[in-house]
Amino acid sequence: MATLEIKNLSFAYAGQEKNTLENINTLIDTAGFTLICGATGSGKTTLVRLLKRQLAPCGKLTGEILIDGRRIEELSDRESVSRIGYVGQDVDNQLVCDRVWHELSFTLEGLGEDSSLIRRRCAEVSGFFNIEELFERQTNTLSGGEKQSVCLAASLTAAPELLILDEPISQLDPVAASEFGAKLSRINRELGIGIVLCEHRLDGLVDLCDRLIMLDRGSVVWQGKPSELDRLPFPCPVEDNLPSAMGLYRRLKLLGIPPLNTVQGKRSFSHFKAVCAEEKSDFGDRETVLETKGLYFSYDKKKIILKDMNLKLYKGEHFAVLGGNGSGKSTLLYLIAGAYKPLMGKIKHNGSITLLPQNPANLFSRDTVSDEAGDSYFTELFGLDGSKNPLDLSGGQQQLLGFIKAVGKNSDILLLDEPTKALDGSLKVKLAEVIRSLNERGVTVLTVSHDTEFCAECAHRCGLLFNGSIVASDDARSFFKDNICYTTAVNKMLRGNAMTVGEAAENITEAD
Amino acid sequence: MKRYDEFEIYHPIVNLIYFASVIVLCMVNLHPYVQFMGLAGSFSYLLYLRGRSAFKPLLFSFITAMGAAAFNILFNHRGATILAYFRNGNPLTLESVTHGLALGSSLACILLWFACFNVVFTSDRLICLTGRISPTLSVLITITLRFVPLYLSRLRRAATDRRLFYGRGLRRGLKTIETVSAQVLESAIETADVMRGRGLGLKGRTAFSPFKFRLRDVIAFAFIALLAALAFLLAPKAEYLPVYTSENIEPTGAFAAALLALLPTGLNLIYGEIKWRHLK
Repeated sequence: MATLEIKNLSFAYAGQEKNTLENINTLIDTAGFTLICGATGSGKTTLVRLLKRQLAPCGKLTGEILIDGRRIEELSDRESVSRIGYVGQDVDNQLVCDRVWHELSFTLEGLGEDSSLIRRRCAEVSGFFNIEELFERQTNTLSGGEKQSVCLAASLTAAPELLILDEPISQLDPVAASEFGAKLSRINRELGIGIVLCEHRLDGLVDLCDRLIMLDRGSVVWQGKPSELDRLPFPCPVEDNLPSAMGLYRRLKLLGIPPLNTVQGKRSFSHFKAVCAEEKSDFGDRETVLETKGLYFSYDKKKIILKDMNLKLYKGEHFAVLGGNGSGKSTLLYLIAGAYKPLMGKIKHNGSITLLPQNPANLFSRDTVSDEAGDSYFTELFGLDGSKNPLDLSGGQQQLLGFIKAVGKNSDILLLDEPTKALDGSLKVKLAEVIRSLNERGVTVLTVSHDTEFCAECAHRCGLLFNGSIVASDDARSFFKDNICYTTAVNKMLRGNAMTVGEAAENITEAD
Repeated sequence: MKRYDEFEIYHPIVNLIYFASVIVLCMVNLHPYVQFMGLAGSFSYLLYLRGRSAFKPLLFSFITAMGAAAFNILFNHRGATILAYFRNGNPLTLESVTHGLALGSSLACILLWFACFNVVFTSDRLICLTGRISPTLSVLITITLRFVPLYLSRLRRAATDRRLFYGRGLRRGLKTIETVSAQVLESAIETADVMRGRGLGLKGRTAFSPFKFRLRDVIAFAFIALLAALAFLLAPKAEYLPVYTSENIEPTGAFAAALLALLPTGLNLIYGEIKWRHLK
């Protein structure tokens, strides 16, 4: 069995006293699917980067990493490039070439292979990922999902033994994330290429992997097979990021191997139901703060994005818009914020508007987090390090810093574009609390999001954007209860009307 | 959607030598016959390639040609046949008018051929050709071609986001560029790591190209080179100043020039049509 062995590995970044990784011992099967998880800042990225020589950060390293019994430093550059593939976090940074065919051939060109081999490999991986159509396209005209496929395909052309991925899923919406997970699983099972994936969001991944390594503050706190997860101590460092089925099972302290996905959850919870008290929040008698009437919008003559879009928001309300990629959710926010003019229809608003964009880093221009945020209460609440440069924060932390800035403008209406993107589960809960308290202070919030759990947690009303208008708009609980796709995992597997793990855990009873 | 182009399926080097020779021919030979062929060839090819959207470049090149002609008429007073006098006493000569028209037509030809070139000679053709010279250079070009649109789209996004958040203003605009540049540099570091991880900088890099240099490309290359040589040497030449003089139209040269200029259009309209009909 080909193996990757990590022995007594400790690592400190250059210029830092404290070890980022502390005495790590593990054995990774290079033909398997290994999932390394841990909260933001637990050292996952440092660990996987040390596995590929070209990417290893500078610093003091003790202990050793052995691949098939050889120290990793002894591998030649060529071997390291061809045997170990690497895919990083932001897909736009992974694509380096103008054309897809050049992207696919890049690694093999670097290794000095001849054209006939490159042509054959390109053909093979294009077929495997079903991207033949894209071969001559320009990379910047591809959609997000297509970019992901090209990126994976490009990392496989050199036929590596092991593919390392550093949080590739954190920036994706749930649908794209599960497709990506399925692709990784195919690579592993059909091609026999080993996968080492590090990720903090574990939904849909735990049941794919055959080994789980859990890191906390630079040390391994647990490692084992998914079938040994009943021995995972409670609470574990990633408790809030576990798949809902598993999280609920553990909250209830049930015995046995926890369910890892919705199907298993449905079986495990078949004797249970959770009924929550319906608390209809009625805003109908309040003042209307934002109203759109018969809104039409298009960027060009080709496709109308919004058609007859009607929306009404009351003071202090939190409305969440869900919908697929490219359904026009973000466009709606930009339109309301006044970035574009509608083709037809009216937007009336009663109060100032602030938009938190999907990439909050666009708003940053100062050197430190505390300069940027101004408000120390929130930075402490979210656990942000005030002395750091905003661009050094993780994606989720940047999202929070953007949120703090947006709140700091004291607007009456807050528009949030995917506020939970790349956010850790525990911080998501805090964010929901803050939004609720804003609502109580009379701030109206309009969120567009893919995150059903988050919307169920803190939105009063939800709507589904489809084909240019809101097709279903209802009280959050009834909205999710009647949906079959756009609903939370808890609702899919548990009878009753509970939506989040927390609610379900509090209200669960034996079913008759 | 781009149209199927019979000429495009040849190797980039064939495309390149064709455009180079036809553009240089239109530049150096101002004989009315050659200019007419040049205009007819570029005009019809552009129309074939771009259909209705060819209108803008056509209009632009027409206006430029007229401007150049007018400029020559106003400021060039050489020539033997005086037609009239300007108010300041300078003569208006027949030769300056014809020379101006010839210059304008030459300019229009060049613009139109470049418009065709832009459609046919896509970035991957450029990368393929530079890859022959130096694989590293082709990597440099592909990175640049990828980077520029990426940077611009990020800049546009950030400009909108910041305008909505902070309001308008010159200083704020500059701050936007600063912010995006900082972000782009951050991601460039990651991209650099990725490229190193994927074998950039290893010795003995090769350049892959999806284009193959086949026998038909050799034939096309030789044919175009022959036509170009004949057209350069034998096509009729003309002098405009001080008196218009032109060589007699010599059949071989004239035929070569016409064939060269009309080659892509002919390939598409005649050869292409016959082939497609035959295929059905």
